[in-house]
Amino acid sequence: MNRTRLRQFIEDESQVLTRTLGLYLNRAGLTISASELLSEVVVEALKHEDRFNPARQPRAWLLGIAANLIRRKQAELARLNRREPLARDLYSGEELSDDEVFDWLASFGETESSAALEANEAVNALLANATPDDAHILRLAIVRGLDGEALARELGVTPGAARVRLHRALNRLRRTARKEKDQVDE
Amino acid sequence: MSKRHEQLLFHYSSALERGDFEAVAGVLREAERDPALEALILQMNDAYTAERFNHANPKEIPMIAAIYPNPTLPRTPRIRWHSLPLVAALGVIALLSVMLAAQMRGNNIFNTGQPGTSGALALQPDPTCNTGALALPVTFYSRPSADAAVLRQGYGTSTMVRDLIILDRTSVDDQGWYFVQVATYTQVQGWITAEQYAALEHCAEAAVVPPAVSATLSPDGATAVPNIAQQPFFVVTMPSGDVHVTYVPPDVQALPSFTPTPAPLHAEASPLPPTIVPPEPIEADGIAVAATDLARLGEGGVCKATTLRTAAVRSLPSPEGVVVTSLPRNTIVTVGDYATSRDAQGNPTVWYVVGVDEVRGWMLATLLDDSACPPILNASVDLPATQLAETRLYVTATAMIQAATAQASAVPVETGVIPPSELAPTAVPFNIDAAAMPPQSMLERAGNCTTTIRTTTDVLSLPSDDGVVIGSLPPGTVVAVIDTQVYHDGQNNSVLWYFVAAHDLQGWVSVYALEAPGCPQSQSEQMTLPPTLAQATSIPQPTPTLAR
Repeated sequence: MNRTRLRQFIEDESQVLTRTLGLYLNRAGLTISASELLSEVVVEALKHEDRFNPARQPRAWLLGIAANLIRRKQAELARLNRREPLARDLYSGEELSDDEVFDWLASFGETESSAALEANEAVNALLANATPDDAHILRLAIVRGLDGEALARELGVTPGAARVRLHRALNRLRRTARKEKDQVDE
Repeated sequence: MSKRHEQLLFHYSSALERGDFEAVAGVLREAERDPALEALILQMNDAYTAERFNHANPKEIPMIAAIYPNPTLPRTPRIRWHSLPLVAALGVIALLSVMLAAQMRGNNIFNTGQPGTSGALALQPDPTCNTGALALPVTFYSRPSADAAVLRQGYGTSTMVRDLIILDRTSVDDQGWYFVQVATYTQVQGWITAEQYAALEHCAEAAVVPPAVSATLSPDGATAVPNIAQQPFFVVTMPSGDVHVTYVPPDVQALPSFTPTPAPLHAEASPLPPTIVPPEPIEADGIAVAATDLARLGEGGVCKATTLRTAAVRSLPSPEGVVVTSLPRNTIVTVGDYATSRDAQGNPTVWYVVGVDEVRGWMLATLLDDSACPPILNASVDLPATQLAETRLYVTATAMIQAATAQASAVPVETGVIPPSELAPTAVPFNIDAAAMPPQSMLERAGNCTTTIRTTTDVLSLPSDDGVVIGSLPPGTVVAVIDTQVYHDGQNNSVLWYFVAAHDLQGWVSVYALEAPGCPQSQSEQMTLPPTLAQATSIPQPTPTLAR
């Protein structure tokens, strides 16, 4: 993708990019504006335009540049404040990692039928600790085995929104999942 | 969809939720070579951003509006203040009328001698601007000269002009220059040409879309709130997340008027706001929606504070709030109320509601000498400043306001008078953090040339005593040294000046304020500034096309 086409692509996508960068900045807790970050992304992208493989996805590439810029800013802030980056603070060592959570919950559906899962004490104990909304969506995902599209139809939302809700429910169960997993493993 | 995709999406969303952008970048690298994964990630991003715009950040909506003249705006949020009476809408209309009158008086920085703010101009969008939004190069220089050190370069957007605070302006060889600060990113300061500023401004949208354009204002039905041409900066707010209205008890006294004492300014800089006639308070259901009155600060009433440097007055208690106006150093403001929140690093921050003449807005407490104000109760801190819906506002309130807020809002509002006995024993510190290092970008610009401030010193916009004071640095502050300049006053007197960058402030200091830096090794061409710089002719004024 030559420079002109890249710039045109960025201009065409600037609305979506700006909204996504605003989301990233909000999550990162940085107070710079999305337009400022977009400007930096543009500079970086044009500077490294020759490294971009036209066969790859440009949006993901640009968002990756933004993520790296944000990471650098977070590291700078952390250095200024003489504390560890935020991401490390969230793992106490007692919680499961993303892959552990995902694998542990996915393992339920691989070996048991829906009816069996309904009666599974471990699953019920897990869901008992969840809020009613979380329990509902987790039951759909774990017991009924609904994936993103099916989950979205059941909930009446977009697939993206369905996944966001499911992932948040899973994250809220992270600590509970550790205890349950340890008990099962024993 | 594959299990692998589900796993990566979970990894992505979890990382995003906890702010781990190293992990986010890792998943995006996978998505570069997987179009299906990229599409799923974009789906999730849409869901997240739809969530955000349901609690719209007013700063984001005009950002989109500025890039495209007729954008498809996100669904506008409903006002949650269901008890807001219909007459309050009339009050908003009255405010709109006042603001139109203010605009017609020439609240325009290009009018010679007129005060103005960087974001107050109303221009008809040029249809060519929508494709050129990213093609506006902006270069920040250390001096008003194209051969000065370049501090920062980038692509400006048309929204940037609203973020720019003009601190000084001058003309050199018939070329106009502005010394500006990007309000939402205060580490960016420097001189830009008048043409660059005019290009940004030319593409600025005329209207700042308000956070709420429709609402249920009375139990009887819905009444649309008219679009306001710019943030209603003189309606002091009680943040609710999607609408900002102040409820003030009927018995709050009107503020006594006072005259601020501005510091001596460069001849071309006059950022004081114009006089605006405030509307009358509106009585409705026993609740006075007073546009200009401030709530009291504890039992001591309002207090006075002084700006420590050029400071922005914002529409919201957040760095993302629109800059209403900027006040020069040593401006005395009236403080009427405050809100506490956290900054991006999790440190507690305090915002004051301040007033100058008839202008009201929010200002960071760290920008003020508030030693004359009662100490603030060090109560539990709210959520980060970006989550305005949770910001806590302490007000003195009657039982009616308590009932109204409990009914209409999810915002936790502390009401009642704060007894002096419960006030914290020490005031919130306001000094600039001398321990904070200069930003990494400035260190790189300086080639890691740093030194230390030797004595409390003013930071100026120019390498000359004629520059505007834009701040001050305490002794011990580490600064990056980016440029040097010898100033000849035309009378055989020469002084060496340095352009330095601290954590949140960039500008010129004289050599007497620094520990001898010994760098940079190369210096700018020595330039003799004409002794008539202080009386520089006004810069060329472009002719804006007014929307009204």
